[in-house]
Amino acid sequence: MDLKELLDESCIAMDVSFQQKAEVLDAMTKNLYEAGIINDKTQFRKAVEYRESLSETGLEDGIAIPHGVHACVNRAAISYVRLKEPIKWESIDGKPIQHVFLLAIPESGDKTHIRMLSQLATMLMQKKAREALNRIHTRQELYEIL
Amino acid sequence: MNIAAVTACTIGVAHTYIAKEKLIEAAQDRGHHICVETQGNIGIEDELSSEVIREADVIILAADISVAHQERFAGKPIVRVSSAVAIKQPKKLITTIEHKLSQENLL
Repeated sequence: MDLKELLDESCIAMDVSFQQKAEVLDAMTKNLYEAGIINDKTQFRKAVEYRESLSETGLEDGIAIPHGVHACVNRAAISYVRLKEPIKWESIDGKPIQHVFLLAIPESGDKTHIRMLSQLATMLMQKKAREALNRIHTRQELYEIL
Repeated sequence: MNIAAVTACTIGVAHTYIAKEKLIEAAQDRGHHICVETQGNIGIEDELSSEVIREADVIILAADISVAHQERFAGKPIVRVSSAVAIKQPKKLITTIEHKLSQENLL
């Protein structure tokens, strides 16, 4: 698996401060837009919000994987933010969220990349991967664990 | 017991696979054998074989959308839950099934 190619360096932010889930998702949507991955911020943000309305996107141990599927997504991609302080976010284990992987999913196209997004979700369910994520300090280290 | 399960969520990219992981973990913790098919955005993966279905004591459909090819499960005890139940309360789901099947002498 090579998730690295789905994670543009400009879509990674380390140790940023946000208070609210909506602010995080707004900022990450902006990053994806500026990286040319999505071509409509409003539509993509709505698609992400729709998914949030279905059920919690927080997993376990402070990791969340919000996602949106929309025609405005040019290619499958990931944006990652590590928050300075964990924030309130509905999760499987009820813990607040510190690591956010926002998945941009195109409506059609190459299934290989969508499969990689699914593999990321599976990977983040492994305790070892979650522990590794808590030890990283730099973008480079993030790429290494992916 | 032998469990055969299908997971499927609305978007079909993340929670289909998360539900699978949670079901496997909970079933194996309780000493059960489990096979899980995913019906996601990329299609069906780890498709349940006819042998697995035949041997299954129970079929779990953890899905938020209609599961494809349900005719395969005719005559089998089927438990239908949302993916959220499989994700958030997998242990409770498995123990409830154990209890119910033993009450009905199906185990």
